[in-house]
Amino acid sequence: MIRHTWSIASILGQEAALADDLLQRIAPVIDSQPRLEEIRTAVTEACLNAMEHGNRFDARKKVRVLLGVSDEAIVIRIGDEGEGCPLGDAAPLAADRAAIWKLDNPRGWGIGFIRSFSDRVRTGYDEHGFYVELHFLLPCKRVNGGCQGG
Amino acid sequence: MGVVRVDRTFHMSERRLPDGLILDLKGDLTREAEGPLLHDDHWQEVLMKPGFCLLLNFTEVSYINSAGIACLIRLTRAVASRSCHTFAYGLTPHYQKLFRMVGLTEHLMIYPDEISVLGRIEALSD
Repeated sequence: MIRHTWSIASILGQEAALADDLLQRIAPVIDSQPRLEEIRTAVTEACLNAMEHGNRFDARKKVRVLLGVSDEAIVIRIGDEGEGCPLGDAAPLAADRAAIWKLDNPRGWGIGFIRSFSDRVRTGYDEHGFYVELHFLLPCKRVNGGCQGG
Repeated sequence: MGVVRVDRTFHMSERRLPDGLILDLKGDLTREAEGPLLHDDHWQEVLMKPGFCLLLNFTEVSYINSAGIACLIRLTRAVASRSCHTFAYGLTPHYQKLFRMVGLTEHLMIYPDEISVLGRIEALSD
């Protein structure tokens, strides 16, 4: 069982360093570099949302990241100190594309990346505050012990 | 537990071509790239001639986030508005995928390396 916790300041760039460390920790259970890159993008975008929308880039406020790896899934919880903003049923990225391209500053891709690359996304509140939780299913490697899939 | 931040500040240098410009990008392509990419009009003056080509070299870029992608969209839109062409090379398969997802590939042609792009530009000018 892999478990780890990070707490980073709401300063741009911290999310990239965190993702480097996180990917090193999960690399033993994911033998696909493309999948690791997808997880990197989903996690960094969730951290950026937490810094910007949750903590308003207040460097004193922290973004908490909890990593848990079981036989079935990698679960990464990203929490901030804000009020919380459920992601809702965001439209698929392709549906948003034309609208975003018309903006002077065509931002807003992060949630689409998070939804595209995560197998499950849930939001909630824990003892620290609001969080977004990303689930990434693992290809089953055990042939004995309850997991027979591939 | 916190993290140690390695310096991955965005830097950009340029190389002139007879019919265009190569921008060698280095570091993380994030919101911090907005200034050099969009507000340094020194390089933009080079692209005033319709048909000129802008080549973006991503060989030394290992991280691009959504804000960086927004910068690239603004850049390619500006270049296309001048009837110039944008090419990219040195992108990992993951970032090629992100570029396709957001529609950048409709405005920016991706090639594996600089030689391939230069060959394409030469063919376009023939």
